[in-house]
Amino acid sequence: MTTPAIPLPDMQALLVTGFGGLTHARYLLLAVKDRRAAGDWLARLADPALRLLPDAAEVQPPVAQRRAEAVAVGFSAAGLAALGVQEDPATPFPSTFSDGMGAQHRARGLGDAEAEAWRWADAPLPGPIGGYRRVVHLLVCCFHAPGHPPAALAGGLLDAAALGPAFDVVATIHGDPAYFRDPRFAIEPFGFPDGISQPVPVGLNARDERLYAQADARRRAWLEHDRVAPGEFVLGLPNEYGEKAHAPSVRGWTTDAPFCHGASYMAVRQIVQHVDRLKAFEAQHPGIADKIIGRRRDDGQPLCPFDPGDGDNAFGYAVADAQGFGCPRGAHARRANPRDTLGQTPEEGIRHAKLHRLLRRGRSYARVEPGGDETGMMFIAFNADIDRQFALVQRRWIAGSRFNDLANESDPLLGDSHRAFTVPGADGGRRLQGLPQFTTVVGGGYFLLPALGALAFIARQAAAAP
Amino acid sequence: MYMAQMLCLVVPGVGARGLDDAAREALDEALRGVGFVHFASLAMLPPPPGADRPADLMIELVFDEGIDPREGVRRVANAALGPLGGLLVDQGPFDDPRAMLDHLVAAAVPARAAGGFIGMRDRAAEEVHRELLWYQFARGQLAELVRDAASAGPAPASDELVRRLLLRLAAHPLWRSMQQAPTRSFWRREGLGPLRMVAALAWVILPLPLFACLFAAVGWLVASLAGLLPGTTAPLGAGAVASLVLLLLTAFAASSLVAVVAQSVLILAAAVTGFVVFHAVLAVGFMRISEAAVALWSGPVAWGVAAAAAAGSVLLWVLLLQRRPGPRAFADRWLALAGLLLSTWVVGAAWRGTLDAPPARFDELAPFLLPALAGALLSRCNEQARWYFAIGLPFLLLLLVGTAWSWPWLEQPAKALPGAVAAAWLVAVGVLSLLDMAVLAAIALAVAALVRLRAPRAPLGVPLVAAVVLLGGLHLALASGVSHGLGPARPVQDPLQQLDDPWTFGCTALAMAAVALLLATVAWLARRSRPALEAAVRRLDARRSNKPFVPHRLHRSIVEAEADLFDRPSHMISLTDIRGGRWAWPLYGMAAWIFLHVIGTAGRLLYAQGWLGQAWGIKFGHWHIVQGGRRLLFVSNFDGDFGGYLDEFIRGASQGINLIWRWTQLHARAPAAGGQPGVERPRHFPETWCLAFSGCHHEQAFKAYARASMLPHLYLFQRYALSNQDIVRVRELREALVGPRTPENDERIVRILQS
Repeated sequence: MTTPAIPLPDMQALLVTGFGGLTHARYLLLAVKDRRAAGDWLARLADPALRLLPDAAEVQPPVAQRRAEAVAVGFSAAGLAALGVQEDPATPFPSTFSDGMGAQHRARGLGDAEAEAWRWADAPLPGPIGGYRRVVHLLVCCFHAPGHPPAALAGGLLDAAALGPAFDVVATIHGDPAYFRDPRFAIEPFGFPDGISQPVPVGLNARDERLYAQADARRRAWLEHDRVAPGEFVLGLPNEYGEKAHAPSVRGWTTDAPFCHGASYMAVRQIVQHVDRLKAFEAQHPGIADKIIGRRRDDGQPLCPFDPGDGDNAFGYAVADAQGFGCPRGAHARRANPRDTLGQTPEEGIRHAKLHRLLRRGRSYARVEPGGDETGMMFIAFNADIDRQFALVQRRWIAGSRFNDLANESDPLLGDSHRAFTVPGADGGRRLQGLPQFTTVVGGGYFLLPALGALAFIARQAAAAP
Repeated sequence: MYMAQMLCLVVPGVGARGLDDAAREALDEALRGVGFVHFASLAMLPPPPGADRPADLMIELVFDEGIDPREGVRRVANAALGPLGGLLVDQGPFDDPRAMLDHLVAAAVPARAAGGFIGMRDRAAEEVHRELLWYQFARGQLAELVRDAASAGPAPASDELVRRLLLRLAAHPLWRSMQQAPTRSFWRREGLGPLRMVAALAWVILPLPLFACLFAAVGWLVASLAGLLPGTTAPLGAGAVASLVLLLLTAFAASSLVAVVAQSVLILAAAVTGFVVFHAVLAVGFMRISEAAVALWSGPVAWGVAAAAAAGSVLLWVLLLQRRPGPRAFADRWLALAGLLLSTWVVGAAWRGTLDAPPARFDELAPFLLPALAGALLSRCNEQARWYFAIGLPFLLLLLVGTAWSWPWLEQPAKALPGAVAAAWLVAVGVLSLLDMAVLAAIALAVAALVRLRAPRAPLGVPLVAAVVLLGGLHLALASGVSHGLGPARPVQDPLQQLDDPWTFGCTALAMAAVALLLATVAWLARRSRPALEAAVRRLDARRSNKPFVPHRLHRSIVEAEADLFDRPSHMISLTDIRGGRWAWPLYGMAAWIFLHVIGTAGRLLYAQGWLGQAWGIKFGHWHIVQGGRRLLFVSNFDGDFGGYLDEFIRGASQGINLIWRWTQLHARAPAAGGQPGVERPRHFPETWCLAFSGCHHEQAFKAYARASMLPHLYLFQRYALSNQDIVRVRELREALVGPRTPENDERIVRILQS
């Protein structure tokens, strides 16, 4: 197989960079009202805001000096259908995406017992209860610099007047600029550094590649732990198995490369964070928050033994902290990225973990319309194989009660309440029963982030509605 | 001892039936009441191709070890007479409950024979349940103790904690039964007792004579036919044919080995010590060929060289034992061992030269004596090595005796050839023999590695077990068959005597140099080409992966069945068609049947801990050939979810999976019942090469194939919703609690109870 070139110029830029320099964000959850108008709206979306700058320089901060705004658009399976895009039966979308995260039978499988009570989802509920939960067709993410006038976002296209004819706005979620208040790292509402550990898709981000090329042998060995084949996140590229990640196609698409070449699936969850509950719990159990998260709140450093000279992301658990005396075996960080623990050897553990990595692009938010002030996280993770990546992590590692030789425990941060949390220790440790529910998921869905050519096709397809 | 805990009964022509909640509850009640059932399920199977009948009913049963399958089925069927009768008698194909019972009991037997199985085999269902209660109680007590201790002052040490814990546990009603050591299946007990060693050897070696008989007959036939060819004398023809067969065998074995290496299965680091025997045989084989040359050294010089080499080698060995395993240490060990063997051989040569009437083929003892010595040395620091030598050596003995046995008939053609050519012929045969021996030895080692019962995560796959049985048998049988064909062996001129002729000596020396060069080149290539080979394999895989595959549209009933099992052991039913058209399918079916049995044997010996290769989390996986031999049924109860499970297969047990599923395909089929999936689009298992490789490495196509073959269960009974980890952890706790009160055990108890 000749390795297909990464179609960077055609990809939406959010897949390559999180636009950390653009501190303000807003997420629009849209439902198609008028297909033709929606097609026109999509066609008018400003191209430069969607794609990478030509020299890919923006991966080098500060981004804000080079661009004032960036946009990304994703479509749920229901959204594609609403816009008149029909899958090609010869290369269909995976069932997980077509069904949707919010479909009853899928939600049960993910452990989302409360999914019927979500505010929004990517799939309708059957029967009369379906009317309560809103179906979202499009997710529009917009990032901008502090001084940028909101009315001018995306050439004014995010304005109610521009959206009105085409879409119902299910919700607008306003990112919290305070997420970026610390120059060292992002800080999520519980006060913990966020996004320190990220997989690095090989060849995608020029800055990552440069860092890797310049690293010495020791550093490079650590970086290798996070370097993952690009096909784990970008459809049509080689994945960790050395195969091209399946890129579905649609009817009417005539280009050689499949419709989804250069696209990615976003797993999105709107998670409300109950900061007060964590504070109260911390008052009862001093120092417990660090153990729950799995990193130190002050500086984001890992709880297990590590060499600070290598950086705060150069560590493994299998040898340094197998028992979890430093970082508990069920801590959130350890569940979300088990690093080297899930194999018979650390090396095998890392190879194993690389099959289940998620490229996170989420941010915290502070306000929701309709609604009001609310603290939470707009979790967005890119992956190419939802079953093998997001769904597995969610089902087995986060919600599952048997992660890493634990029993009857789910993720202390994201799991449901009344579960236990074990803090191992040489003195017998502690097992905390009946943890409060620190977070509540209020919406979620799978969205396809198409490449720009495909986006134009969707716009044409919708606009051509009879 | 009955090993077949996993049964599948197929009742044909039952038609689409449903179970209401009352029937499910009655079944739950009945199966729980029987007590020895771990898992059970019911599913509708679409009728086989060409059969004009309604859907079949599949009944899956997983029993405790030691229960007679017929008796087990009878008891289950009796207990579940109500709901089963509702399915099979009231609306189904049987006239009365007795007919149904008899059919089910009769159906239990073929399932036992047809299935391969792996899984957690020595835990009784009730015992698992009791141990769970015991664990929960102990964990609660420890938590209380820790809490009390925290309020009272400084934390007590773990020995004090455990002392207090034991006092509390002694009050529990389960205390007495938990004082007994947990039951362990024969194959899962730890340590290498003589009985287990003999049994393991018997299991693996017993098939050899059977194959030997088969191939002896073939060999005899070949040799007889060769003698009949016009213009040939029987010895020459037979020898040539036999050599050709040997050559082919060698080529096959060597290519398998290369393939194995290319797949990174034969990993140096994983078997550093094990390779000693491989190289020992290599060295001995080389010495055998170069015997003539070095035999010219005799007398005190040779004795001196031998003594010095032996002393140096032993010293090097002892020093090297301190080194960490790795490529360097590996190479050094090889050199040391080669030196050791060489020295002994020189001793043999010197002995021969000194006495002038040597005990023949003294050097042939070397492979037995010296690795044993090396093994004894190694065993001081490496338990794994004991296994290699304890089990590998008898194999080597068998193989080398076979080689020695075959030598006379391989020498026969030399008698009909001119001296120089004859010597070269002998050298060539020697090279073949050497390579064959080396490959066989490597395979024997693989078996030895596989039969490490304590930690059955062998670096080599199931195919090698099959290969060693086949090749070992061939080796022995060909010798036997051909010598029968030749009639009584005529005395062969000692090749050494031919060396008096300078021309012959020159040819032989040249041939030996060529052999040495060849070996060095092979060794060098093997070392250098591994990355390239791996890359080539990846490219080959990738080229195949370029073939478009169609993702499978998962039927809602499958998703629902999986969602119902959230946080419980998962369940999977896969029904595939045996490959081939009208005439070919019986052949493919037979191949699948053979490999199922290989897997079954491997499961019995090796994969009794829930590991299959390196895949973890399989509770009870079993394959059956059903529906008149037309279909392969795979039913599995496993931890985790489907995607991760298949990833484990791909990463850890791909050869085994390929060897079974490569004989299948998916024909289009109608659903067994309304609301169930059919197969709309025929599919093939992803292409394999060398039977065992590639195949399921094509992740997306493999998963789509597996997904498309799946059927939902109609009913599922799980006696316990525990993962393998849970079960192992609880058993470890029990063992630690009844074990001696050492600091290690105390630590272990405290650690286990923190989960």
